[in-house]
Amino acid sequence: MKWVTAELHTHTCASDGNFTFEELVQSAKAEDLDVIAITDHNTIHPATHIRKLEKKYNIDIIAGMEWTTFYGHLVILNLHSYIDWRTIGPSQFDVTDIKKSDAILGIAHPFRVGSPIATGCHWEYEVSDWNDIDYFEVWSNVNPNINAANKKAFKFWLDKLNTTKLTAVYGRDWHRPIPADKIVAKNYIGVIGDNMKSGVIDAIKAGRVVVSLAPLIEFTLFDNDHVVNIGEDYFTSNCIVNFKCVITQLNNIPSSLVIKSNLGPIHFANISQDSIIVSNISITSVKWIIAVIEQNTEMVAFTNPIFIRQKE
Amino acid sequence: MLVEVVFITQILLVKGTLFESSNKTHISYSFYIENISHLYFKLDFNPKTLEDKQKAKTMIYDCLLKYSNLAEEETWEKYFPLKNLLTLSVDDPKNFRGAAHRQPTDEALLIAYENSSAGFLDGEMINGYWKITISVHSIVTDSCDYELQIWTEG
Repeated sequence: MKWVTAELHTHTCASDGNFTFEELVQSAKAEDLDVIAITDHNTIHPATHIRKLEKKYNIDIIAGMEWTTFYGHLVILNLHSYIDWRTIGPSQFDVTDIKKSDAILGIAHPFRVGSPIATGCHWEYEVSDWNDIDYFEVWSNVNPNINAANKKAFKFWLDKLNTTKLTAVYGRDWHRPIPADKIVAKNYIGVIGDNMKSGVIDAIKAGRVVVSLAPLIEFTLFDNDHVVNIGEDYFTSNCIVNFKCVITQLNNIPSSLVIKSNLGPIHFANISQDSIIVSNISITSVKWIIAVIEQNTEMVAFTNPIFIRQKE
Repeated sequence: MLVEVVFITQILLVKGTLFESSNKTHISYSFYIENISHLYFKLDFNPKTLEDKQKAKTMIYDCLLKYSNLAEEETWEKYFPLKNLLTLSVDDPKNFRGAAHRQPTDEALLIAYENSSAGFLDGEMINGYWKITISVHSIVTDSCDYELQIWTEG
């Protein structure tokens, strides 16, 4: 598995962004991103144009669209033909047809303020089956770790993990150059295989994503020779399990590594530089665990969960 | 000397008035075209923003209370002025041909075999019924007058 960096929510002047598509790609290259998804509002870019920019800038570009309805915004990735939004009423959310394709779906900025301040930005559809939704923008926009709407999204997402698998990602909703006084995050995506784009899509579906302002947390459980990665199920009848966190790209600010679960925080460790933490945790009644790095009580990075499945 | 003759035909100049109650509607115009090379269209609407500060303040607070419970912490001026938002999309007889999800500018939009405007898809200018749709995302003013012009070349 290889960790790549990706931005999954971007706009150009094909909708309401300030960038041309080429300027967006240049900005992504300047940040050393390996992959971007192009997700303009309610329109798509021709495959030939995407290929030309990929070649010129040696970057992978996932075709997508932000399905920008009156009642919520859905980011669709790996989308190869337009999907109409103009016929969907407030109680008619149905993605059966989209799910027949290879596309994956993520709810954009679910708790952002809605109309009339930002039309349709707040998610208002009833989702009857959360298995239809592949991912959730738990972090959105600039300064994502202190954004109040993101804190609500994080809480909502943790609650959802008790009943469903739903991958958390960051979506910058990148419309224009970022002001110098704002910070952004990135997704570290665990890609398996040589095909970068399908690898990223598969990894998002599988939950191999770490959302972070900078540090990468490689979080695994291990049981003799058996290693369990984020996104995976760990089937066990044990009450205690070993975990390992390899933390890199951490700045030198005093930080805490916290292992959180459906029961709340279950392990703490103080760190101040790149570290490898190996320890064990009790998993009685635990359904899922995530690894979080905090600085001055604010999160700076979090992983997607490992699910604990207790054998009878 | 050969002179290329270009026929420019005005297809529609339509006007309408929208109200707050028109929010979340779509208005479509369907028109038949044959043997054209370029389709131009231009939407304008006025007013673009709600300039009444008292009304805006109430609407912004209501919105913040509804969605975030953060009204005390936020300054309403951050969201002033509230904007009307109408977007355009186009369908040819067979396929979706793009959208302009943005505030309008003075420039007309173009769909053609090549060099279509940003957000629109190049391709054959198929004979048949084309459709232009105005999507009413947000009307925050008491009323809003729009004007859509459509013309063809070729």
